[in-house]
Amino acid sequence: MKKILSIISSVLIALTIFAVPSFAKTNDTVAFSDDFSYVYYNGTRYIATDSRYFYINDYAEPIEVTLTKEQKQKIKAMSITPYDSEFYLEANYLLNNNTSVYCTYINEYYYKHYQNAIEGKVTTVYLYDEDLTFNLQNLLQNKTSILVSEDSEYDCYNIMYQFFDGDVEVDLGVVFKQDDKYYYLDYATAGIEFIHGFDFSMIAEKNVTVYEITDEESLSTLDLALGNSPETRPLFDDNTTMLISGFLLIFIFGIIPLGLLILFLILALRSKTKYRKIFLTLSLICILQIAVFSVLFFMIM
Amino acid sequence: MNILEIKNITKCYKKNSPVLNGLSISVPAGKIVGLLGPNGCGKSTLIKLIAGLLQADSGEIYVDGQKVGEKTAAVVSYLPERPYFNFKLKVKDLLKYFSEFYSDFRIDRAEKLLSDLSINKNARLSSLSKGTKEKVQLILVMSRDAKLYLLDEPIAGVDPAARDYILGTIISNYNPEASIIITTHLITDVEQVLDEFLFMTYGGKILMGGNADATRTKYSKSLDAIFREVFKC
Amino acid sequence: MLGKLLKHDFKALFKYWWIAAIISLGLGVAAGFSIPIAISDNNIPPILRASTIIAIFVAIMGIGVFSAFSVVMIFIRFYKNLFTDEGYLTFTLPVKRASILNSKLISAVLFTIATTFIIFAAILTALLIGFSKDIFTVRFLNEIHDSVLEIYSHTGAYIYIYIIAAVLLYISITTISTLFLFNCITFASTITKKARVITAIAIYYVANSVFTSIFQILFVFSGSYISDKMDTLSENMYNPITSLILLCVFVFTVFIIGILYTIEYYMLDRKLNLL
Repeated sequence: MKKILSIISSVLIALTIFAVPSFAKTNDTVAFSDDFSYVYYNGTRYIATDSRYFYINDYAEPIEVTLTKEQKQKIKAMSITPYDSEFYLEANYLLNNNTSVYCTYINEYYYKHYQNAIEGKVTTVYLYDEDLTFNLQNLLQNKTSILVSEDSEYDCYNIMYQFFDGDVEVDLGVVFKQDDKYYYLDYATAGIEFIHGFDFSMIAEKNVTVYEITDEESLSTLDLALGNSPETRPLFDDNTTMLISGFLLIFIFGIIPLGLLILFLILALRSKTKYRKIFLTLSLICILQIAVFSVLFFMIM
Repeated sequence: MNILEIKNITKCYKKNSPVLNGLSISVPAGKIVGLLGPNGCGKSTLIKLIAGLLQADSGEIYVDGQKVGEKTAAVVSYLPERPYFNFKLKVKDLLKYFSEFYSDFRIDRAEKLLSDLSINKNARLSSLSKGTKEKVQLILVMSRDAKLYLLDEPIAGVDPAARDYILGTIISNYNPEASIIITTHLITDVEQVLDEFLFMTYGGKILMGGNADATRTKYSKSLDAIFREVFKC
Repeated sequence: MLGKLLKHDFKALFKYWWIAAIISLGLGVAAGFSIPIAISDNNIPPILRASTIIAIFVAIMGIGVFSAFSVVMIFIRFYKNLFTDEGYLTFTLPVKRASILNSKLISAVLFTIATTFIIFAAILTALLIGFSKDIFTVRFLNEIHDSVLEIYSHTGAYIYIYIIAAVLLYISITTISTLFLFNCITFASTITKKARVITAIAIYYVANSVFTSIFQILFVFSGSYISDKMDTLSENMYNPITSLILLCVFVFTVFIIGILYTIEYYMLDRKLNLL
C-alpha cells in the first residue's frame, strides 16, 4: 500500500511540475514594426486589426518578451499574449516615454478573410448557434433609421461569418424584431459600440441605423429560427410557460398548505393532549403561509 | 396501593402476532416480584413498556397512578439487560450524569458501593471488564431512591459469585417502600429474594402467580421445580 | 432539562470538532502563504511552485473534509445516542421526548453554523493572505466601498431586511437539512433491525435526490415567472415585493420545518424500535 501511494504521489508531482505554466520570459523570436502595425512571433506575421468583431474563448497568460539591443532602443518593455490556434495575438508595449500601447493582431493567414468579413465583402453568413444561413447582401437592403428605447429588450440573434469550417467566427451584427418587422443591425454601419455580446440590448434612447429585412428567403429563415413555423415551435410558448409556472407556485405555496391545513385541523380535533397542540401549531403555520403567499401573489399579478 | 397497574396491554411487533395479548397485572408497593418465563415470552417487552421505551398498541400502564411518560421516568429506575452507557465516558462522568438528571440519585451511596468494589472513578468504562461494567450499571441504578425498579435479566451472563453480589446489592440498597420487578430465567438464584412471582408464557399470558413463600409451602417445592413442571416441553 | 441535554450534546459534538476547526484554519493560513508563490510571475524553482500548488490543493481538500466531518459527527451522535444501546438510557431519562429531539436539533444546527463559519474564515484567511498585495490597496478598498454604496443606492434601508432575511433563511435551511437527516435515520431505524446505518444513508441519498430535482424544477419555473412579473413593476415597488417574497420563502421553510419536526417527533414517540 505504501509503495502504491508513493508511486502515485511521484506521478502526480511530476505531472504538476510539467503542467505548471512557465512564467519565465520567452526567448522565442519576437519582432515588431516601427509603427506596431505588424508583429512577428515564432516565424508568423500578425497584422494589426480591429478585433472587436469576434470573441476569444481561450485563456492565455501574457509572456514577457526578452528584447534585443535594437528593440530596447525603441521600447522599454513588451509582453505578448498568444492565443490558441495562433489566430490572435495581443501585445502591450511600454514606450521609452512610459506610454503604454495596446494592440491586437490577427495571423496574416486569416487577415484577408477577416477584413473581408468586417467590410461586408462576404456572401453567406450564419445565425449564431443555428445551422441557418443568410445572404449578407440581402440583409443589407432597405436602410432605415428607428428609434430604440433604453427600457426595451429585444430578442436578438447574432449574425456570424465563419471560415475555416467554423474554427473562426466573426460577429457582423444582429437581427431583431420590432413592431412585427425584422431588422438587421450591422456593426460596421451602426457603430462598433453596439457589440455587447450574446445578450444584446440597445444602449440608449436614440435613432439607430438599421436595415429592414423584406426579402422572402431571409424572412422564412427567420421564421424557422425564431420558432414561428410549426416544425420548430418549442414545446411551450411563453404564455404556456407562464401558466405552468403560475400553477406550480399556487399549487406548492397555496393548495398544498390549504390541503394540509384541513388535514391538520381534522387531526387536531381527533387527537388528544400533546398531538392536538402540535397539529394546531401546524395549522397556524399553514394559515400564515397561505396568507403571505396570497398577499404576494395578488400584489404581483 | 399498587405501584404498577397494567390494564389489558397488547403489543405486536409483527401484524397478527402479538407478543403481549391483553395482559393485566398489578404490583403492590414494597414487594420484590419475579417475572419468570422462557426466552421470548415477552418479559423484556413488558419491562420496556413500563419503562416507556415502547408504546403499547392498546391498553394502559400506570406507575404510581400516572400514565407512563416523563413523570414516571423520574420514579422508575431501569436496568436493561445490556450496558447502555457511552463507553468513552469515565465512571465519575456517569455519576455526574445521573446526579444531574435524577433528583433521587444518591451519589454518596454510589461512591461507597464503587469503593467497596475498588472501582476507580477515573477509569474509563471501556477499560473495565464486562462484569465490572455490569456492576457499575447496577450500582448506578440501585443508588436511586426510585419507587419502582425494573431489572431486566440482571444476573444473566455473569459468574455465580457476581450473581450473589448483584442480588445482595439489590436487597441492601433499594428503597424498602419501593417495588422491584426482576425478569430472569435463572430462577434458582433469584427465588430466595422474591416476595411474589409471576410465571409468564408466550403472548404475555400469566400461567401462575402469587406469594413465593406460600407457593413453595403449598407445593413443597422450589419455584424452580414448579417452573419446570409448568413449562414442561 | 433541555439545558442539561444541550450541555451533553454540545460536549459530545464539540469534543473533537475544535481540533478539526483549528486544523482547517491552519490549512487556510498555509494556503494563503502558498498562493503568492504559486501564481508569481518571477523565476520560482519548479519544485517549490509545485509544492505550493499541492499545498493549496491539500488545503482545499482538508477544508472540504472538515465540512463532511461535521455532517458525519451529527449523524453519529444522533444515531448512537438514540438508536444504539445508549438509547436505553436516553429514552428513560425523566425528560420529554420533545426535549430530547430539541436538544439534538439545536446542537446540530449550531454545530453546522459554527462549521460554516470556520470554513468561511479559513477561505477568507487564505484569500486575505494570498492576495494581500491586491486586497490591501486603496484602489481595492475604494472598489468595495463603491460597490456597497451602489447596493445601498438600489436597496436603501431594505438592505437591513435583506440581511436579516438571509440570516433567517440560512438558519431555517440548515434546520431543514438537519431534520431531514434525522428523519432518514429514524425512519431507517424503525423499519429495519440490521444494517440501519446503510439503510439510513440509502434513504437519505434517494430522498435527497428526489427533493432536489423537484425543487430545481420549481426554482426554474417560479424564478422565471417571478422575474417576468417583477419586470412589470415600478421601481418603488421592487424592494417591498422582494421583501415579501423573502418573507413568503421564509414562512414556507418554517412550514417544512413544522412538518419534518412532527414526523420526527411522531416516529420517536410512537415508532421507537430499540433492539
